[in-house]
Amino acid sequence: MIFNSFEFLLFLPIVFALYWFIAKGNTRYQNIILLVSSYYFYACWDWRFLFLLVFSTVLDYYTGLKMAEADTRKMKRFWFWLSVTINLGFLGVFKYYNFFAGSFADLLSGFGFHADFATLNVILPVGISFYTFHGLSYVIDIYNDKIKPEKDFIDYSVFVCFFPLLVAGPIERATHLLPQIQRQRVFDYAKAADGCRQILWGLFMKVVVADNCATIVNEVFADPDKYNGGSLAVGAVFFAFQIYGDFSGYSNIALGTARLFGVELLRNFAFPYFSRDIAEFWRRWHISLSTWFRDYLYIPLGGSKGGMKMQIRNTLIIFLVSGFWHGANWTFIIWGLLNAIYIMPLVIFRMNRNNTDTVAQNSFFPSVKEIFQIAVTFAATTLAWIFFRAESVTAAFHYIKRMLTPAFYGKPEIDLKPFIFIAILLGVEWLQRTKKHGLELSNVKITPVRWAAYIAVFVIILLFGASSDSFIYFQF
Amino acid sequence: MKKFLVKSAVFFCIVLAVVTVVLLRYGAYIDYFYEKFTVGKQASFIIGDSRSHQGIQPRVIDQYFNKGEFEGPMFNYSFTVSQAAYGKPYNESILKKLKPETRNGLFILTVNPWLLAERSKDNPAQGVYEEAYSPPHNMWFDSMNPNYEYFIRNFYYLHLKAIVRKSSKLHKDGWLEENNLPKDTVTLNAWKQNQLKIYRGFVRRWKPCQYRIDDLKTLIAELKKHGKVYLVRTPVDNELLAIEDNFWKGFDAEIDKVAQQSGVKYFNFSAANSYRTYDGNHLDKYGGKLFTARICDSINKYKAF
Repeated sequence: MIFNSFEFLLFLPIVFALYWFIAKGNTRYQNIILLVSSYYFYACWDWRFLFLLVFSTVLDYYTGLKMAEADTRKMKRFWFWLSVTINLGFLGVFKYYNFFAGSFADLLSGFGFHADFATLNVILPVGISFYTFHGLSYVIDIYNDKIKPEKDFIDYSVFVCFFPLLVAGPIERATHLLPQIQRQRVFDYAKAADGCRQILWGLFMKVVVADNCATIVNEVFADPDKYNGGSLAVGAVFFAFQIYGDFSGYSNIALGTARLFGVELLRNFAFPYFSRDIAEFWRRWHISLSTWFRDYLYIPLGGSKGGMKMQIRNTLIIFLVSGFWHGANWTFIIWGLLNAIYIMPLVIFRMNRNNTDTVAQNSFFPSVKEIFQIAVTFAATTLAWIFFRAESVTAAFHYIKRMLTPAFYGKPEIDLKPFIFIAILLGVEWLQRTKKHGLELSNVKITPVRWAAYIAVFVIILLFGASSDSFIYFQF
Repeated sequence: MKKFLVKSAVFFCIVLAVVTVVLLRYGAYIDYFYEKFTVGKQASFIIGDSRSHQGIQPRVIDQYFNKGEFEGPMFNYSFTVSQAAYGKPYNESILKKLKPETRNGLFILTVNPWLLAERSKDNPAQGVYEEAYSPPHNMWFDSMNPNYEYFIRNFYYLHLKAIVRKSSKLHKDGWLEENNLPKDTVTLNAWKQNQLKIYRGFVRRWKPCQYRIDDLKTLIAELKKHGKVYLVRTPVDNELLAIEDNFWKGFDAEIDKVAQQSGVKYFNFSAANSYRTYDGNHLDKYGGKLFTARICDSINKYKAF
């Protein structure tokens, strides 16, 4: 069941009605309803992986309790590492086994040895990277005495499995989500209404922007040799907006859905394509993952405290790990590496926190300097996205080479209509850049204007929505 | 909460109204199959894939034969090769759409190797047919106007942008009329190459099989209770025909055998390349009109009625 499906359109009102009318403010019942519906939501993909999800939940719940009960530091460490090892072990088997087996065999063959490792025909359980990181943050926080373990299994399970965030995040923290699950939720009209707007905007981003771009992107990346340099450049730009529309659209729907249940999830995107440098981009793109790596990898590794060398090393590590987190392919690792290279000059010259405010905060239009900065940042990220999208590193290099070779340059010969939707997206986001999402219209007091906007977005979705039966980030 | 529910209901009503208007006014343009599910049960059918969907025109048959020669009007219940292959799902769907009281119907069942091939996701031992989850097999209500079920279940088949373009129209008799086809040979040749690529892909993934032949026999037997049945193989360009003949050697002999065993007539027009296809596979509306008349001539010649 995906968010932009009619099954979800039926599922959501049913859960909403059960949650607010049957449970009627009883937190215990509300959480049971959320848990059962979350398991059902997940089982719609593949019920067999539900056991893995339940196992992972029980493991972290149990080891969390055991860490708190442990009399000695050694015992606490034992339970901690048990949880971390098993969690990462599952992730390793399901997501990375074939990659390591293949890469190791390639390495050996480079030295003249022939190794034939058995590869596993495993299906990647949807959302495994997300709920594993979810659970890991919980046990790490307990280990570091930042939080106390949750004693109520239902509450903890809802924290892990809450259906809006289960398959593609945002990656929540126990400190942020668990207190919301524990306390009584009262229906808040403003929050729910804005949640609906956020869902509508998310659908626009996904169905109109991402899926229309995807149609062109799939053709261009499937056979770049058929296209001239101009078409390939446009194909790369379309992919930049496909992945943004897809993932940010998903996040908007997830956040909006959670708000219908009185829960605020962590913000995942903050208009990243208006970033003026790559450091700002990473503060605005997939925020829940970036901050996860900052808190659980970068800072434990020493962060920026150990001098410039250590800061450079740690920055490089988090970008490489972030790339690897996205998938078991060298393309993702190079994508991470490229982003590390982009950010390094800013780190070295201590310019990585130059742009922490909103672009053109006190004016309607950006300055020429800001336009230039935004364009350069966008071009750099788009170039990196080519590695993210390509089937292999060789294919990515081939794409870039053909795109940048003057001999192949020519006027784009592909359908340019998605630019209309991209222009709408960017126009609306520019107007709303200080808000939480593109359709946050709570400050518009004239009701007909607000309603006209809702209907317009719906009609655009209906008329111009393209088809796709999945979200890109489900594979991670 | 009350305010939220009221406003949500208002928004839902507006959404429903927009969808209803779109389906009622533009249903024929926004989907290649939708209109087939907005009309009631039918007495006479054209069955098959996209070749007959575009290439056999019910109105030509209705005009050719005198009133009373068969229970009309004809209805084109063809889909595409990926959705409609002879098998239990299609059989069930056809029989569901058939008026049960029909006694003198006319049933033109088009055949080609792809409509009778085993698909990669088929599992005959367990009765699994690859096409089972696509329309018309995934529908409960096949005669409802506007058909919200089709809209909900098969939303991704809809191309709502066509409200503006209107380049193809599905008539109420089920025939898909393609307008504004390109005339330049470069585009048409590219389309033909694409068709060849698709069918070469089928050769790799599909294989000849007996169980779909058996399903065809079952369908013929059922339809014979309601009227006359004819098997027809539509014309295609030579390159495509070569792929088909190579994929299923002796296909025509096999169908001849089915026709004989079932007591029906098989008209094989596969090599009749005097009819115009626009992509090597599909007859355009002019070629389709002539071809439909030829089918009528053949039926008439054998004095079926």
